[in-house]
Amino acid sequence: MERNLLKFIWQNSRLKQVWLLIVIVASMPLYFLTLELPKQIVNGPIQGEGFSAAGAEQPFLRLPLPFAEQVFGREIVLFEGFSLDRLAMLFALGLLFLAAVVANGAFKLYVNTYKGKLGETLLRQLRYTLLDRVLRYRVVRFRNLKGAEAASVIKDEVEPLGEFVGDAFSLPLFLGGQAITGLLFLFLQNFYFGILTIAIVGFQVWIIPRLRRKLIQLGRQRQLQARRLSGQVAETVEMAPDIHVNDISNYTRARHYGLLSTILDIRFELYQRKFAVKYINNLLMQFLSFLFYVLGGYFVITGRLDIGQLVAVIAAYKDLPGPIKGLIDYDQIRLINEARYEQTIDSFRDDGLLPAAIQQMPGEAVPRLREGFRAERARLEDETGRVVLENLHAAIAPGERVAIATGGNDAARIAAGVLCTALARLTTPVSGTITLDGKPLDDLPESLTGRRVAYVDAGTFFPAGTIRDNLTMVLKNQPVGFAEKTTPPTPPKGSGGLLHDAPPDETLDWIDLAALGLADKRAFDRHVAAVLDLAGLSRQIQDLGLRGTVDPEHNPAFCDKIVEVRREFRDNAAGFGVAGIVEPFDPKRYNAQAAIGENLLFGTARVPGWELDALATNPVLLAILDRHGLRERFLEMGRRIAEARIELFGDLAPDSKIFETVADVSYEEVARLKEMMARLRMGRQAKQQPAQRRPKAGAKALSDREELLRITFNYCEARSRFGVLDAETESDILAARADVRETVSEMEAAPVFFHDPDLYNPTATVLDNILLGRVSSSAVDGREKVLAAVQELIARTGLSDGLLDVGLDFEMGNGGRRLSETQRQKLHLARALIKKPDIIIFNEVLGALDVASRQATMRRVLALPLLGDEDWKPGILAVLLDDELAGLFDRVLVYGNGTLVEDEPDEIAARAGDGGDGEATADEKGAEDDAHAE
Amino acid sequence: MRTLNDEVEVLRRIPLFASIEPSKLKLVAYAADRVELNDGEVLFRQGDAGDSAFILVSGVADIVSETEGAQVVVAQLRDHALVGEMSVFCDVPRSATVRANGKLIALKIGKDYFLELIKEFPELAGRIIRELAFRLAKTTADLAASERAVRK
Repeated sequence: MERNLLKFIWQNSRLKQVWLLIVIVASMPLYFLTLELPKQIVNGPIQGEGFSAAGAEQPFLRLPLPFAEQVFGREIVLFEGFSLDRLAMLFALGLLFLAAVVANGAFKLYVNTYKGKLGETLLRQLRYTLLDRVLRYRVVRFRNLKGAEAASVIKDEVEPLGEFVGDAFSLPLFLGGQAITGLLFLFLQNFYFGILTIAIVGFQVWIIPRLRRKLIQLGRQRQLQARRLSGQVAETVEMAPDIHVNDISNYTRARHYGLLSTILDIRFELYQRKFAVKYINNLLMQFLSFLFYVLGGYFVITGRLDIGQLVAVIAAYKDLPGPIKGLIDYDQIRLINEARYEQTIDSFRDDGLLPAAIQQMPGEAVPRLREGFRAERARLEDETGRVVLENLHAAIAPGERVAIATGGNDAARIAAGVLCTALARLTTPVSGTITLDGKPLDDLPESLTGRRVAYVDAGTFFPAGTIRDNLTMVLKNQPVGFAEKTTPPTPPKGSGGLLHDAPPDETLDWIDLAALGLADKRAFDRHVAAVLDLAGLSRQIQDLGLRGTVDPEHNPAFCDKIVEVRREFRDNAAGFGVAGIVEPFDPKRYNAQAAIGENLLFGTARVPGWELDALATNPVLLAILDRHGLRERFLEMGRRIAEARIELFGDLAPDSKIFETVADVSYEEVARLKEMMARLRMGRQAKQQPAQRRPKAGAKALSDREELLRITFNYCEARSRFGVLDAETESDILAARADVRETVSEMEAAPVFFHDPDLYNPTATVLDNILLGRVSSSAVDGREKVLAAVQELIARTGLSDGLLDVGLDFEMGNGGRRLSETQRQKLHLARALIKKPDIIIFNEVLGALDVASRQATMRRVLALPLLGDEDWKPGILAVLLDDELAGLFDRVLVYGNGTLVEDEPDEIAARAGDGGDGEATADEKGAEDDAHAE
Repeated sequence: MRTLNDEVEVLRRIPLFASIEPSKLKLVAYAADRVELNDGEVLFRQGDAGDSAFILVSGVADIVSETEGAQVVVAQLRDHALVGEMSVFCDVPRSATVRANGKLIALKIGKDYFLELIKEFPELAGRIIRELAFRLAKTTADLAASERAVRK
């Protein structure tokens, strides 16, 4: 890549820079017109120059040919103009001025927009190019590359370059032009003063860059330190649990502070230097005026210069400092940006980039593997550079099952792991060769190895996104129907190393169903379900689906089915052994298992103002309470609930386990309740003393009375049993409920979705939609029983796939951490299977699972046919965690004398089997989930 | 509907809690979930992971030992008995199935809270130890009796 910033900008935007310059030059006359016209207006119509005679007229817009007198010896007038009197002239000139201002503004707008767009376009290409480099780095390099630092370079460090691009050429030319004109003018006025000025400016030109050298150095240091800072901050966030566990927060603080101080020191020195340079700069310019005045004055007084000349010189000089100062400032910005740019380029050096051809999108389908891997005299090193395998001869063909049994031996495990990474192209052999289908692995395109070979290890990282995104990501190799070969953009010659070809659109259809041998979207859904089944994830994802929400407009069929399931569940509760456990929502009955507010609303909120915690300040609802005489009663109930809570939990120590285990309030809340009750007993005006409780971030603090109401709304008699809710109040609440329903249904956009046995509620989870009621708190293991019954019902009604679909939309969170480690390892396994590769490499997979489930999963993966496809028999190379499984493989390799040698599968299995007994039971489980492993 | 105060009254009659002052008893009542079982319903099953202990409020519970499909009622517990505490103390699976014999009402106390209670009220711990010791004595006596029966 071009290391010189100006050259780089020129190479990538020369035409646009020239156009920009043309536009700026073209706008100059207008600019001067805006300066010139006010003078004409004042001199002409206002002061009356040329209008001294009554009724005198002057031509307007008279256009004589410039230099006509010199060339033709007489004046040639192109346009005689309109003859106007004084007042008309004032308006005419005024309007012309207005037009010039508008046009000038338009030019400015255009130029600024153009500059901005130019800068941003170049910035996008630069960032894209840098990203392309990241994608083409060899994997080894990432061991030393901090993500946050790379992000900080790509995002922040190049940002100011965008602003600079538009000015890079136009500004210096523009200012330079002005400065040269000024100098020229000065020379015309007086040769010696011209020389003097040039001498001083020359001195400036010489001294300033020297002063700035250190400045640039400091700029670089600052950039490096800032980059380190983003790396450190990111690390701190990543290791937050470790920091707490080991009490190293103070050390971390100190570490950060040290770095921050270094940055401060650098910046401070930077400022000192910067302003010192500025000072010298200004001083020199002022020194020049000093010379002009003193020397010029001296010459005038001694009579060697007439006063008129001096005034003209000083007038000419007046226009000079502006452009020169501008140029010097420009130069400083340029230097800083150049340093910044070089630093950026240097940290994204070309060395060791994969050739672009390796990541080329092939036009045609990728062929299946025929011969598989072959290692010849391979010598492999681990990450520390120690040789772990020597003179290795090994081969694995598609369809062949090979295990590496390590027996838990460390050296063997490391050697096997390194071999796996070498086959997956994550490391390269020091010597010897590894070939795939007869070709050296390094020369093969990633489209072949990436699609026909799968690699799984114990890794558990997933980017944030839904399970579906993360699962199907590995299938997105190339947009469907992308027939022609597309090389990932390589910079053409002479572009300064920047990529200009845009990649295909992200939103295209990237999953090639035909390549997977699938007919349509439905077949693909079945494929996904089968893969998840195999990996032992279906049930867990279905559970997530139960907790997810569905929009009936997107999936009407599913929601209708759920409503059917709801009926079935309600009608047939006894059949599932859950009779009486769920108390259904019945419009005519008070639901004892739900809170008072829920009973009142009898639905779920669609807007924040109608959520349970916000009801106390909801004017519509409060009006309804008043109508039924409930508000005062609720206040009284709130008081009693608060007192009961204080009585129960008031004496407990702040660290009492009871707060964590049984209390539905925290120590702080009880303390607040105490304060509030004390205030209320004192009879102080509650409204002046907000309870300082914020029910939700952003909501305003509630007054004591509102807080009491809030407590009541959240109260459930069946759970807390304080005995504050009597039958009369219940029936009044039922009456109020009907009122709420009526009032709300008259509103334009209903803020509440009412419980309705025939409608699917889009604001509630799928499970709540099925139950349409509350699980009773007095049933033994009520929740578990209900969940099991729901799952059984769903399996029976064939809704599993729909539920799986909902579950796949579960957001996995930062790093995928909302799923457990076992789930994430299973998902990695599922990703290897979903693309139906010819060879799968299992590098000690599923280590987070318990032995029985892990073995059961491995047996499922090793069973044939896989995923119901008779033609697909992937080759498998597995580094075993359970040597008992060795018997299931065609060949087994063991580690000995620094290399891997063949051994007898059954013997290894028998040896390992002596110790373990989990096999037989695990086998029976089939595709059922290993839920207890979670 | 039963309120906390009603349950406190029930708890007061249970010897195990006799020494705990009424205000604290309310906390016990609050923490406990009241569960009602019909005849033949199961409180917990042998082999399940135990996360709570139960105090029988009224009714009779059969303690059933399951071995290879056969179910044998080994004991019966009635009012005010503590059951299921072994899993809570020892972190082992349920050693037997407990089934309602007729209508059974029990209080369910979560494991964490139960341990917390014992920590907070040493008298309670004492009573539980006593109860367990009695049971052990009875088991030992039963064992001795059955051994004698075998020898004869």
